[in-house]
Amino acid sequence: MTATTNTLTARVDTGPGLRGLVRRAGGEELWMKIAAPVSLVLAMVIFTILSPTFLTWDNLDGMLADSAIPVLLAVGMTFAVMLAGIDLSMASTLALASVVLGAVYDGGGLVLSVLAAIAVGAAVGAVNGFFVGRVKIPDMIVTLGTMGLVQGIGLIWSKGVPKPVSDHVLTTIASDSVGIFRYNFLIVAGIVLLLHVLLAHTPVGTHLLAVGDNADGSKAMGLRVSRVKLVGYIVCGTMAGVGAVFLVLYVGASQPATNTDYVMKAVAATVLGGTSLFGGRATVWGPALGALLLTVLQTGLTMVGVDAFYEPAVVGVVVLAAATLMRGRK
Amino acid sequence: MPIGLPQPGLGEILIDGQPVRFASPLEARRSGIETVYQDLALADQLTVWQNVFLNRELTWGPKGIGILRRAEMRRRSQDLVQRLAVNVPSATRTVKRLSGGQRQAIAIARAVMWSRQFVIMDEPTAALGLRETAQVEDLIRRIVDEGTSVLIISHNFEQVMRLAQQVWVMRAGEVVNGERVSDISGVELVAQVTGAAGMPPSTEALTAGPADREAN
Repeated sequence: MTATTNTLTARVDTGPGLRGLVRRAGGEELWMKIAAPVSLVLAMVIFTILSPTFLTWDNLDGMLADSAIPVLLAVGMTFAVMLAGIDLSMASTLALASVVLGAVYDGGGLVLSVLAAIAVGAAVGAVNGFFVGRVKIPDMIVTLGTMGLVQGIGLIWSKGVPKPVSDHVLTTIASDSVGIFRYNFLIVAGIVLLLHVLLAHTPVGTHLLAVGDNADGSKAMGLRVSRVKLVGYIVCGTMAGVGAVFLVLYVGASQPATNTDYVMKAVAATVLGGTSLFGGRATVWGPALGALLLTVLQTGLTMVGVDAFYEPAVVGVVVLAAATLMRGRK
Repeated sequence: MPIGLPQPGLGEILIDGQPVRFASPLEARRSGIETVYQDLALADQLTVWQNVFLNRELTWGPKGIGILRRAEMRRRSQDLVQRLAVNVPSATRTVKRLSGGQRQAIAIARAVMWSRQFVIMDEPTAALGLRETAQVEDLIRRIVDEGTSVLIISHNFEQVMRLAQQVWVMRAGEVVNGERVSDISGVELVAQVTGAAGMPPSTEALTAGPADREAN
């Protein structure tokens, strides 16, 4: 016993600093943790060198505004991925919620239409969570199904026609600033902070991670697994609903057509942010930075003259590479 | 059975003389019966303290959605592992960084911390090597000395003889014998069990445990 204690202490007794961190966390885990912030800084430096207009406030401000929807979807997606799940329906949920926003806005007004859009997102999330958690159908199949269903409802309802929504409050949020930051960035930052508190500082967050890590063990400890999963998918769907509000204020109209890019980008940002695809390990700020990184890459590549057609391929490679790095864990 | 899975077909369970019926492991936990499952039921990527307080988190504000008292849970988990001399360096480590013996020790420590009646351990050393088995047995003796009743389910007769004070032998789902360990030899124990193949004996340390009858 004594001998073991000694070797264990010896192995563990590493102070702070990079080497200690590497030894304590293991190289791969550390890498997953710092991938997003380090790549973000690297990308900023490289693009600043390559393009003189990259590091201007105009451009930074624009990128922050552009990243609003990717960030919202990425942090939402994280709540499905941390459960070892995925939500393929996020983009079509966003489309449907924007249709609902457009429909309710006439007659209902801004507040009601925004609440309706968010409620639609939460409702789709609840359907996903119900089928994944209670009916126990694989997440891919469930969200593939709701993806089609929700997309269909949006198209039928809107007849595929975008509906203009011009509201001075939305315009203000999109373009006005408090201090140096635009309202939309501040709202997104507030939501990210809120979800961070939920994940890291409430029992709900711990339960989500525990269920994602070890569903049987969590059940043995008395957690209601299906209910925990329901919560995760509702958070995910709600973020799609909030994303719809930002899409409408961004383009000034509802968007019945699904932008499938959103889902891939959200998953990419999630894994870039250090979320384990096998569940149980996640932060909120990681995927938020991951989404910011993807936006910076997109803007930067465009500014240095790389064709925008390369972007999906880059994102796809990122997903595959990250998944490969995680292979063999668990 | 005493943890609520599966439901007993016959017989009854008495705690402090009162008959109880558990519909789920959660109800058994509420009555103060803790279980260390054979697979430990630990979330590997969570920290030691998160596992110790899993589903029993201390919070400020409303239960369930309040803000976690992380510092307090860390401190209490650290106290727990130090009190039980579990050789886990820090309660802030993730469980997957621990050795098999340490993980077992965490699962046991968690059960000890929350139990008010007794702790059931299902094959506590089945997955461990010799040295780690010795460490875990040490820990079990220590918590018994501290006053916790332990019911061990084990097919390791030598371990039963080493750890237990009272043994119940089960064969084909029925208790075929109950004796003080001091009154029985290992050879007799094996003979009783092998009446039918592969039936594990139940043993309980300390007589202070609740009246616990299992039938079929």
